[in-house]
Amino acid sequence: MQHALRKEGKTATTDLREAIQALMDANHLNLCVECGKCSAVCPMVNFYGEYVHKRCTRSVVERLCYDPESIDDEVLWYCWACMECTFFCPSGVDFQNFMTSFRQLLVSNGYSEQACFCKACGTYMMPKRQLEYLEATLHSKGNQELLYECPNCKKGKYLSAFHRIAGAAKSAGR
Amino acid sequence: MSDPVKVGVFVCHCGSNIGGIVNVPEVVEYAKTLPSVEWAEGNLYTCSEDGLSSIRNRIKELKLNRVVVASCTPRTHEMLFRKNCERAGLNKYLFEFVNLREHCSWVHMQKPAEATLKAKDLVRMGVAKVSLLQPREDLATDVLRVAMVLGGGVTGLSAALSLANQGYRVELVEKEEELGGLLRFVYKVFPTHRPSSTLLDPLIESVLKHPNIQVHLGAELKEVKGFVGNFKATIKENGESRELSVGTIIVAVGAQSHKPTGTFGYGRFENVMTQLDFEGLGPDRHAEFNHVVIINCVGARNEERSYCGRFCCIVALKNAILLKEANPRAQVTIVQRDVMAVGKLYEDYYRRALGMGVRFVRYDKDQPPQVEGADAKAEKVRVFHMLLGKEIELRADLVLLTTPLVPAEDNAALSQMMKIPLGTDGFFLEAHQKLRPVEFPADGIFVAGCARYPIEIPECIGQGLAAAAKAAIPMARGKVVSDAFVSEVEPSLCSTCGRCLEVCPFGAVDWAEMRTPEGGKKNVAKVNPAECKGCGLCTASCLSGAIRLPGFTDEQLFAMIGSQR
Repeated sequence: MQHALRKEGKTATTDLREAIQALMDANHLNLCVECGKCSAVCPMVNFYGEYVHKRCTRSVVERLCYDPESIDDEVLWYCWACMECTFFCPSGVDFQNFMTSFRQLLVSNGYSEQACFCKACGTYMMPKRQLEYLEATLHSKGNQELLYECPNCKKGKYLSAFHRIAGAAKSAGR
Repeated sequence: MSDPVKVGVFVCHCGSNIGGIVNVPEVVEYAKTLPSVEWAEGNLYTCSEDGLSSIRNRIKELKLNRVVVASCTPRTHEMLFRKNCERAGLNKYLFEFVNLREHCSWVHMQKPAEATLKAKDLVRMGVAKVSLLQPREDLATDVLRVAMVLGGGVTGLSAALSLANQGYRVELVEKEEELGGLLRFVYKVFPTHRPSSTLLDPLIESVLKHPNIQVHLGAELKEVKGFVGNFKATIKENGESRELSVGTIIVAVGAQSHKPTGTFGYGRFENVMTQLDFEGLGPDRHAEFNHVVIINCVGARNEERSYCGRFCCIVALKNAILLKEANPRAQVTIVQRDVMAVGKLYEDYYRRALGMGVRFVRYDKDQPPQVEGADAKAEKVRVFHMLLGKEIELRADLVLLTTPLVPAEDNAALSQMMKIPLGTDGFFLEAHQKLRPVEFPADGIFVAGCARYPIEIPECIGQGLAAAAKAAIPMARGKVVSDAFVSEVEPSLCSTCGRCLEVCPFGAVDWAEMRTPEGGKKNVAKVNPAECKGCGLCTASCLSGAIRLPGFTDEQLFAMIGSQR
């Protein structure tokens, strides 16, 4: 549970608050009619044992509207952006798009304790909590090094190897 | 009564409804053995033309003077069979209905043998009773073609106008000095955002101009006497009493807005007001508020008032939208328990508010919001946010309290005066929510609009028109015919206890003065046949046995019970 505990400290600056508000407007977050479908379909309950409705989509929206001090709350980093809530929302709230853009915004404003970055190029990849979960899941498989690089770097690395092998096969075939 | 009683019994199969369970031929054979039964037969459908003509022919051929039909329910078919007897020249009150379908075959489907036994019992009782019935005449009373409409709000205005256009004279009685009711105080109506005057002014103008409508302003109803067709209403208009003779009455007295004095800082802070107060604030001031908190369900859906105000959520949405339109940068938050935006129209209206950035926070009934401030000004609203699980603080330079409509103060007095019932919430209670929505149990008095429960304008107009249509029925016919089975008082037996006056749900029993044989005077109960519905409550409640109900006299009922097998 200690992950969920609030840390003392940071409050969003006015600029950041306005940027968040703009993001909320662009993704229609204010159209929510509190039907609860997003919470019902949210798969986070499978990933996090301590899941309660305080960590659901709707709650994140409320948190941003009425509790600006909680900008460094770890709960904001729980979502995996799986798009289930966006798909089921009857009011057209694009929460998945909001969440991904919102984290980019947070990282660019220096709130990066909860984020993890690509080992090769240093771009933002995913929340730390998500990485920990994936590490635990892939632990016995022996291939968790795949987790630490961003898709672009993986592409560069493995694609060049693939080209090498393919080129060798080609010349051998000739 | 010199003629010997000759009873004809007609047992209906009702297709397989009765015939499939009860052995009808057996019942018919049994009926033939009963005393005074001249004729008994079974019919596939007694209510068909075959069955009806058979009854008529038997009455003529055999000179039957009593008829028993054992079939379905008197609720639907008694009128038909009575009329049929009348066509054959028999007094229609010499007919008795035995219910073999609802009272026997339908409830004993699994036990045909026992059902047949019970059917025989029922027929026997019917025959025992019918022998004691006496011929009676219908009571007809004339109806004055004048209606009194109580209340000059949007409901009363539409009802009055509808009746007047149908050619009836209307006496419109309004307590205030001006027509228009509560709608006068509303700035714009939802969801069109038209000023309420565009709706109300043409209505008032056509009512005032109408030759058939007499408007009494500043008039108060003091007394109502009489019954359907001929009410005598006393009103006090500008200090002087006037008597109006009317045939029907429409109660459209409306309701009033709840003032939650003492709660949420209402009455203490000048910037805490109800929605209705805000309507009167005027559009010029809408733009000056930057932080608005609207608290819904104030004084509604609680222990004291269990009902929902029905349209107050939409009023809150309307004023939130108006405030947002006047000042788009304003932070408008609606603190609510549920948003009741029912139907496509209001759902779209709700989305419109959401799209404009009006925010909604849900609160718990047990943790209501707290309005805080200094001096005479509210500054913030603290509310426990149920999703966050913590208390949040909302800045406020205007706090609007959404309150429901509550019953008008004089409802209790009106209820006493006209003997019309009030529900538990203090609103008027109609005769039946679905089947008789704008009527009272007492004939000739109708109810419409917010006097029944809080409703929005379209429904007010609809109910006003419905009440007008219902009130026009007796006036169009010109007379009301009532059933002849009404209570009768034997004055010499009356002990003046007054129980019958208390129990009568229709206000049909009243005091009358009578000379005693010793030369003195005493008050005795008197039943007005035009108002009596023959329910029998007074008969059952009379300790002196002074009241009898002709269709259900003691002799008849004892004969039914006593006709042992």
